[in-house]
Order: sequence, then C-alpha cells, then structure tokens
Amino acid sequence: MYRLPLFAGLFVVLLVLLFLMGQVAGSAEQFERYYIVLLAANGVFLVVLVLAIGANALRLVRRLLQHAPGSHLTLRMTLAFVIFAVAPAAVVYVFSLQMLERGIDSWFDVQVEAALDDALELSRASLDLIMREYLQDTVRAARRLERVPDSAAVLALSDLMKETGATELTLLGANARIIASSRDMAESLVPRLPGEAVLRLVAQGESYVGLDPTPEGSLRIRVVLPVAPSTVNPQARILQALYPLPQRIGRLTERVQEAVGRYDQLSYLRGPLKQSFMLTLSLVLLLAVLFAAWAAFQWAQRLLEPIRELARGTRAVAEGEYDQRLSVQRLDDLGLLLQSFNEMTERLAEAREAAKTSQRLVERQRAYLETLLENLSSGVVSLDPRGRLRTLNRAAAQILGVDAPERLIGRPAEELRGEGGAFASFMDQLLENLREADEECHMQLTLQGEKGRKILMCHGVRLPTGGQVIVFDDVTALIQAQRDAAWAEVARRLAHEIKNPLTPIQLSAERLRRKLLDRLDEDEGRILDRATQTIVAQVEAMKAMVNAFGEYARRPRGKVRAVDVNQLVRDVAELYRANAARARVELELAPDLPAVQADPDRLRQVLHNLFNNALEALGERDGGVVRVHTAVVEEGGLVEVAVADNGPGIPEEMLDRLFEPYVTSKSRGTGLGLAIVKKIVEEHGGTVWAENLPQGGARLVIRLPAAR
Amino acid sequence: MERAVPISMRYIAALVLCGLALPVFADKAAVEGLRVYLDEGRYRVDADVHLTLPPAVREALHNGIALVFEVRAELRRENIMIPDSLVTQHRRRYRLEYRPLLERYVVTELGGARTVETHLRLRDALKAIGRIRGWPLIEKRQLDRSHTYYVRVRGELLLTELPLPLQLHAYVKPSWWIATPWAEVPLR
Repeated sequence: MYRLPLFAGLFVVLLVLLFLMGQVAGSAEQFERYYIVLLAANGVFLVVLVLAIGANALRLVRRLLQHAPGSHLTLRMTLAFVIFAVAPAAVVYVFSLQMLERGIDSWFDVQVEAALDDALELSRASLDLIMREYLQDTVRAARRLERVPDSAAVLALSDLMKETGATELTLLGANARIIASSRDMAESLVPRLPGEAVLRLVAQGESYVGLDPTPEGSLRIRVVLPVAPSTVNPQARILQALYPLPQRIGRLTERVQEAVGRYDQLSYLRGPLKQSFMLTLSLVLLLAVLFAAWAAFQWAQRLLEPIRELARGTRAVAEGEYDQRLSVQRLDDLGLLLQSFNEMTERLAEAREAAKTSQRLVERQRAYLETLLENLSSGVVSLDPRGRLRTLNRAAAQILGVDAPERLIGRPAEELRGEGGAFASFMDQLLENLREADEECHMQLTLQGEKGRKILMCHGVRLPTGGQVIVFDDVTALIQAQRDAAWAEVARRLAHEIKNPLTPIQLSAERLRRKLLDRLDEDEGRILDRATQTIVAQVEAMKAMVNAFGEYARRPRGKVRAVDVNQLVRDVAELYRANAARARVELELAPDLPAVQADPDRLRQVLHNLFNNALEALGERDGGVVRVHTAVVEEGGLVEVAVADNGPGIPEEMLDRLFEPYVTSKSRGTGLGLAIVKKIVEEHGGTVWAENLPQGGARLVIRLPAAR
Repeated sequence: MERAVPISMRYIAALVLCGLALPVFADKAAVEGLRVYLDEGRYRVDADVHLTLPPAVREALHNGIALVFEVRAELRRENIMIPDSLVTQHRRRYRLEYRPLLERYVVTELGGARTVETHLRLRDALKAIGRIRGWPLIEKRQLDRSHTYYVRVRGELLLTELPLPLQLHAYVKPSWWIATPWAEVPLR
C-alpha cells in the first residue's frame, strides 16, 4: 500500500517537470535561468526511473526463472502497457520533430535576409550622408578655431555649438589635454573623450567621424579632427564634436539594427535551437515512456498482488496449512476473491479439526480394542473381505504356536494353509468350515501339534464390512480335566466297590480248599485246588488292579520339596541297569540342572513308569536302548526329562489318547501307567507328551517347572 | 607567519586544478602584469587579462550573440587547516557585442557605471575588457598583520549569460570554455 503515495508523488514530480520543460521550451523568461537546473533535475529523475525500472525488471526476471505465479502475467501486462504508452508517444514525437524542423526553418527566408541586408546598407548610406555633413560643419568650425587663442576658446566653442547644433565641443591639446569644452549640461557633466585609437589616427593628420552608441542605447556622431596650427596657436590641437543623430533617423536605424541583429542571432541559433528543442522533446518523451513503463510495473504488481497472494495461499493449503489467512486490503472483485478464499480455508480448517477429533476417537477406540484383544485369554483371528489375515491376537498366537504373528498379518489365508504346524492345520480346518458357514458359526477344531492334540472351540461371525472374525478357546485342558475327573471317580468306586468283596472271596476260596481238599478224592481234590488257586490268583490280580486304580485316584499328600532330577534319574536308572537283561540304559544329563519342586516319591514313580514303559516297548528285542536325557528349556523356566527307546514306536491312532487309562499297545499291565504319569506330572504343574522319533522308536517327554 | 605552501606551488596547484576543471583554456588566455600597490593607504591592483576568442565564439559574436565577461580580483587570506578564505573582491562584468550597422565592437560595462566603448578591432575591445587599472581592494589598516594575504586575478566568459539554446551547446564544447587561470601575487 505504501506504493500508492510514492506513485502519486512521482507522478506529480513528473507533471511539474514536464510543465516546466514546456514553459522553458516556450521561452518563458522566468524559467530560462533554471533551464540547466531543470535539465539536471530531469536527468536525475530519468536515472531514478531507469534504476526503478531496472530493479523491477530484475525482480521480474528472477520471478520468471523461478516460475513464480503471476510472473508471466506481469510480463505480458507490463509489455502491453509499455507498448500502448510508447506507440502513440512515438508517433507524436516523430510528428513533433518534423513540425519543429519545419517550423524553425520557416522563420528564415533568403528574401528576408537580403531585404535586411539592404536595409542595413541603406541605413549605413543614410548615416554616412549625415556624418559627412557633420564632418563639413566640424571642419568649418576647426578652421575658425585656428586663430582663436586657448584663452578664448571656451567662448568660441560655445558660439560654434549653437551654430553647428553639436551637443558637445571639446578642444584638446598635446597628450589629449582638454583646453576648452562646451557641452549641453543635460547630457553630460564631463567631456567624453575619444579613444586612444582615434587620437592616434587624428595625430597622424586624419579626420575621424563615427557613430557612438550611448549608454541609453541611442546613437550619436563623433567627429574628431586636427586643428591646424597658426601664428596665434603654434601647437597642434584637436577638435572633437559630438552630434545627436536626428531622432527619426536614429529610431529607424536602431530598428533596422535591432531587426538585423535579431535575425542574425536567430539564424545563428537555428542549429542549437533545434537541438535544444529536440533534447527537450526527447527528454519529455523518454520521461513519459519510462514513467509509463515504471507505472506499468507498479500497476501490474498491484493488480497481480492478490493473485500472487492467492497462489501462495493455495500452495499453503496444498501443504496442509489450513490456518493460512490472506490479507484483504481492497474491496474490489479480487478482494472478494481473497475473502472467499479465507472463508474456504476457515471451513477446511474446521473440517480438518473435526476429522482429527474423530480420528483421535477412532485411534483411542482402536487402542482400547487392541488392548482388549491382546489381553483376551481367547484367541481372536480376523480375515478381511479379500480373505487376508488381519488380526491374530497374542492368545491366538500362543494357542496356535505362532512365534512371530506380525509376519503372517496381511497374507492371504489360503497361502497360510501351507505354513505347517498347528497354525496351518487351524487355518485349513477353519477355512473349510467358514466356506459352508452362514452369518455365524460354531465349530470344534482338533489340532495336532508338537505338544500333542489340541481341541479348540471356535465361534465365527461375518463382519458387516465384509470379512470374518473368529474367537476361539483352547478347551483341551478342560476336556482332559473332565475326563481325568471321571476316571478318578471310576477308580475310587472300583477301589471301594470291588476291593471290599475281594478279601472275603479270597478267604472263602482258601477256606473251601482247606475244608474240602482232604475230603475229596485225588481228582476232585486236584480240581478244587486248581479252582481255588485260580480264584485266589485272580483275586490277587484284581487287588493289584484295584490298588493301581487307588494309586491313580489318590490325591497328592503334599510332601513337596526341591528335588534334584538328575540324581533321581541316576537312582532309578541304576535299578533298571541291573535288572534289564537285554536293554542298555544311557543317560545324558544336563549339568547345572535346576531343582524342581516336587513330591520325590511320586516323581520317582513317574520315572519308574516311564522306564517300565520303554523296556516293555523294547520287549525281548536285541540291541534295545533306553536313552534318558535331561535339559533346561524355555530360558531356565522348565526342566525337561525325556525317555526314548528304539522300539517299534507308538501307533499313530493311539498317539492322541496314549495317556488315557486303558489305552495301551501292550498285552501286559494295568493300562494305567502312563495315565498315572500324566496325572502326577500335571499335579506338579508340568506337561507330558509322547512322540515317535524319525529314526524309529518313541519318546516321552515331561516338563516340570524349575524351582525358583 | 610562514606560508603554509609556497606561492609558486600554490600557483602550480591552481593551474593543475583549473586544468582539471577546465580541460581546454582559450589559446593564450592569461593574466599579465599583475601588480598590487599601496596608494594613499589603500591597496590597489593593476593587471592585463588577455582574453582571446576562438573562431567558433567569434562567429557567434559576429552573428549577433552578445558575450558577457567577468574580470575578478580577489584578496584572500591563507589558512593552515582550512581552505583559504576570501577577504574582499572586486569584479566587473562587460558585455561585448558586434554592431553590424556601426561595424564596430561595443563594450558595455554592466552594473552601476554602464560605460560604453566602441572599438574598431576585436583585439582592442578584449584588451579594454581585460584592462585592470587601480582597482581598489582594501584599506591597509583593515588587514591583520598576523595573517598572510595574497591577491589573485582571473577573467572568464560567462556561459550562463548566453542565449538559452546556445548554453547547452557551449557547456559541452570546450572551445567555449574561455577563462584564464588564476594569477596570484602575495600581498607584502
């Protein structure tokens, strides 16, 4: 906005300068003396304009190179302005120059010049005639003075003045000494003596007659001639007479002289005059054009300022700065445009703030849901509409045995079926079930993993946005617990209901034998003996079975202490090394194995059962090896004991149910050995599983928590 | 008091400066016979300022252009640290014109006296303009004995008095720059 006063100020200066130049060109006398100053002022103004235009042009070029918004428009507008200003000015300039040339030339005419020369000549002739007359008069006066002594010269001169009509008569002696003088006192108080050149001329005996200009500007005739010596006056004297020019002649000659002088002057000044006018005209044109150019720059900038502002604002908005407000300093159309832009950005900023708020809300919800999902004990898996895995919470990863769930996220579910392990099995079954499911589905999946079979209860829902979410729980332990509880109850009942009648049966059988054996003949006695022995043996077997059940159903007695597993393994292994005829027992015991909190007797029973199980699996086979190894797993949190054999292995169909009562591949035994192992291990917070070895044979692994 | 700069040096410096300021003087334009003398307790100056006109200027004169000359005599006091100061000056302006009707050169002294002289020859007219005789400068008693004074004289053509269209022309043409260098003489 500061530009407007500056612009107006410079414009006023330009107008004043142009006006003054016009006045000077019109020969206004009051400005003539300031002509040079004016020229200098114009020159300075010109330089200022050139500098201003240069600065503007430089700025424009820089903006053009930077491809600044509005720079091309500025260039076009400036060029248009300049062309519109220069074109008519140039036409006027050329036209004026021609007019000037012709106008000045038209002042001069050969005929006028000749006429003036003639007039001058005529004037000279006329003056010559008059001067000759006055010369004759003065010669006569000089002759009369020849016999007049110096002492009477004043009177004689006074008389002669009257006779000749002279205004001054002066008689000079040697060295131009004034002898006598008579003059019209109104004209001069002192005699006006001739110059040295005239005196020299007269000293040589010549007469001088000439015209002298007076300080008032008129002319007078001066006649100087020698006065011849006589007997009265032996020295040479000089007489000077001054005559006024007749008034009419004087006026005419003055006018002729003035006209000739003026014409000569004008004629001589023709060239400089033209140059001066041309310079003035060129200066005026240059000033006008340069001012127009500068004004064009200013105008274009002022006009395009809102557009540049708008471009800046748009760029800022594009970069996400919605707080950008453009300054509205005008109330025209462009000002309204800026105002509209400001309103738009204001609304955009409001909208963005609202979007941010809602995004924050969504983020919070999402974080809440994620926390919920992560801390949920149930596994949650979701698929997006395109069938890609979207969510896999921590519980799901734990249940499905996935180490790094993040690597699976975003991958197609179909592709994940080939991952292997429990997770692949889960995905495989899940996709099969989902394919046939409606909006909601319930399913029970059984997974086979490294640590045994897992049973999952799944609940799937189709999401409104497409895709599905599946929530599942590992119910293996629950089902197992239910089954174990059932078996424990059976065992307890068996112990109670069966064991009680067994003793009377045994006692009765023995009594029968004792009472009747002697009374019967040999054959019958033999039959009785065999029958009673069979009864007693079977009752004993049943007792053993019932005892085993009792053991299975027995609750822990709580003699828990820190047990060195390695030592326990060595003790038990020692017994079997001695007793096992064919099988070899090998131990691989980890040094620095932490102790476990356990009931040592029950743990010993576990080891006995495992050794028994391995040896029974080897049977009578040669080269049988029972390999026991202990290790620390899961960063020292668990103690692992594995008992492996190189026997025939466990049939695949039994692998899942191996630890259930009466699940056995052997003909001997109660079928409770491994069930008891599992029960004791689980009572100690551990896990147990069986697996077949690739090189043949089976391995049973127990893991117990290490004592802290 | 000793002179800060010898007068000869001052003269040379003035010449150099004038030479820089006015690259071309009119031929032989110079001041001769500069003399300062005491007459009845007053210092007066005599000098002859020789001015000559180059052909271009003569042509202008013969074509009705009046030339105005200024002849100036200055009494200045020497200073050590600051530029010399002007004590008093006497200057006269003369208009020289050629009258075709009279076929004579007319010299009019401008100012109070307005004396008019006519000369048949231009040389005489210029000589009359440059003739300085008995120009009064200052009473002796008005001078301060503790200071050193000097008188300098110069004559020049005043371009500012030329007709306007000719002024620009004259400013850019060195042949129009008619001026004598300053001539100096110490006041004893």
